[in-house]
Amino acid sequence: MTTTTNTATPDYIVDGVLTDGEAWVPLSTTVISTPANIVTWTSSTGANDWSQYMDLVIITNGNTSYSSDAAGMPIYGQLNDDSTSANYTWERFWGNGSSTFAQYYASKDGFSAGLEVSTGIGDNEFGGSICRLVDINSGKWKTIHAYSANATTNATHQEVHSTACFWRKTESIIKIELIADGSHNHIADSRFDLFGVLPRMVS
Amino acid sequence: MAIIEAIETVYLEADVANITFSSLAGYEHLELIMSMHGTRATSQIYTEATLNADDGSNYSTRRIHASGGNLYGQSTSSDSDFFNNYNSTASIGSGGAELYSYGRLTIYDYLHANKNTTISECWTTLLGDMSYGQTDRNIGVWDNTAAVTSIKLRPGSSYNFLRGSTITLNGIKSS
Repeated sequence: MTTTTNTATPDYIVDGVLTDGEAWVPLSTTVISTPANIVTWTSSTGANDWSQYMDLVIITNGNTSYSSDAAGMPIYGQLNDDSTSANYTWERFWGNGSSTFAQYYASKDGFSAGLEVSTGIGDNEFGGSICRLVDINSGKWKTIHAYSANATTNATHQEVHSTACFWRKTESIIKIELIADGSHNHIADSRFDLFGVLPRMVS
Repeated sequence: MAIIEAIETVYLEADVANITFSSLAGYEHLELIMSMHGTRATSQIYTEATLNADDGSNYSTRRIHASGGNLYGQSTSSDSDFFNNYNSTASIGSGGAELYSYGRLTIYDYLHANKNTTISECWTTLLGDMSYGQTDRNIGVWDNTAAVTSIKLRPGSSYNFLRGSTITLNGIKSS
């Protein structure tokens, strides 16, 4: 696993003065080389100090080591080492090409960071997701929304999801773990990117 | 050149009846990122939107709506705003004090003077006694080809947005 983290002095600080530039700042990129169950990102220094951001965005492109056919393998996200399932609540709708569903879960093993395709489908097929964590430094419960679009070459395994999640904690987010479903692993070439989203900082 | 710029961020330090963005020029598309809560004491509110101060019956909205275990496709038209009852927003009477609803509203090619303006929105909330949630995917059209020069957000039925709500307007550029 290779993780690149951006700890450079933020581009929007010029000689000690704030400027406005890109709203999205690349923070960390992890590319799997040896299969791994968990990807971990932690707030640190410079651009990777998460206390300066309004939101975080995660983009995933993953495949898990599950040997059966599946196009909707959850990527569970856990925040600040909180593994208490009662703190993560979901509402989602999704479709598989022929049917649609709505589901509410009062508790889950983490928030939805997206979905992966299984190696049973093929080890060269990867699912794409975009996940946004909102107002991460506020005193609110944290709201999270993920879109996943997993089209595969297996006609009976296609899934598209929209998932709303809440983390029932008011603390700032300083650590994210992305966990492959069950005891499976994110396989080689799975990719996970983290971005920080800035507010308007100057008038 | 920045591709996505934060044009304006609003932090509500007090309750307000509406929020208007009017410095919009210079981009291809616009995106509002919202974390919203209402002041209604008995139920949820809705976060409605109008363009160019147009309160006429010129807005249509379609949605996919999940509520608990139920899934719906719904539509409304000839409305005086977008999202007429289509994006339940947490409020004092519904949702818990720490729960703010998230919304992402995209307005496409908003400066074009020969297109009816189209929008899309995703929305999340959790209501009542926390025994069910809601999530929406909305699309809409404003039956007017004018370039968009202002965006107004207002809670339905004369309630207010609660302090603590935040909205960032982003501009997205093209090459």
